[in-house]
Amino acid sequence: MRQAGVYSGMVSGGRTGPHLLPLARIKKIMKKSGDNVKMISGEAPIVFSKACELFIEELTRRSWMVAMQGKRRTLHKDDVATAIVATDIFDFLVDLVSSGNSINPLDFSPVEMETVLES
Amino acid sequence: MERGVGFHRYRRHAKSSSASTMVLPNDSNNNTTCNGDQQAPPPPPPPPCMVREQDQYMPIANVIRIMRRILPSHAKISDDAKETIQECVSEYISFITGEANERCQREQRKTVTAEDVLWAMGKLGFDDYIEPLTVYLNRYREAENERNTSHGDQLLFLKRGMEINHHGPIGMPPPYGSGYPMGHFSGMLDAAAAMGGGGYYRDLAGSGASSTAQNALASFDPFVQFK
Repeated sequence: MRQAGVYSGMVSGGRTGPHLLPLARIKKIMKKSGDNVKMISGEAPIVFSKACELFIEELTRRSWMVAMQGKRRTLHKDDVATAIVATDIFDFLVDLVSSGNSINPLDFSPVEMETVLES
Repeated sequence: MERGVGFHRYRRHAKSSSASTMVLPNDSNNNTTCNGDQQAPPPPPPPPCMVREQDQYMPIANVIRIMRRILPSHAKISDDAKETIQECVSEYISFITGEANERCQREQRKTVTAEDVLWAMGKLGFDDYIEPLTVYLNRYREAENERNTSHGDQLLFLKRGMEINHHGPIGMPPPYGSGYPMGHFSGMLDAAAAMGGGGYYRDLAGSGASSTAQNALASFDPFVQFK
């Protein structure tokens, strides 16, 4: 029988479950986000572990829609870049994906872009 | 730490610990050529290929697992897409934390809390995440409370059981009126049942000898199944 994780089994159905993303790593990244990040409460990485799941799911969903639009079955970096450029709240990621080979959103007509991303 | 172990990194750099955080540019092919050099001792001066410090990212296997929950089973994911999303996650954490931390500084608080993180998400446009995250956080907090207070409550319950025995067989006194958190209590009953501990109460009722009850108490461990 699988060893119950610290949080699973305590809550009915174990729905909080063991975390999918390692808390120590999250905390490390948080600390690196600025020189002046001093102390981090124990719960903050917990919130992030779930938030990052949601984030990955949303980014993946949007990227996949771009790939489907191109009738492809393999998700490429370009698809991710396109989804990022087309999503307002992902503006902070634009520089991350813009080095070199990102798709120019002007290549898509506004109607196509709407179609790709509506859901 | 794992400084000497290279298996979790694309390339081990002899001098780097947490200092070097150069990110590999788009060309992921560099990784494989770098790995080819791993076998040759002693390590040559740093080659032109860049170091991709894995400690600043979420483990790629975990990222992929989450992606697969969304993608249809026939979908494939290119390596560069995986790495890109991996980098995006770290960027996301930094982005939100930066905003949360600024708020702490403005309010002259030293600790970034879960509330700060949630507030920052709302401010930066991730409103849709706030509700599911709040639910998640509350469930976590409930679980923590159960963990922390359960031992005291368990002793209290058994003592009560003993008192009630003086007036007759217990049955299972419904605890809900007594203010115990429901989730906690049913967990304890399940543990007792799982251990065949329903018999505990019968024993207590049958013997009426407090020493027996004390021994039962000493060996009662409702959480043994969780160990």
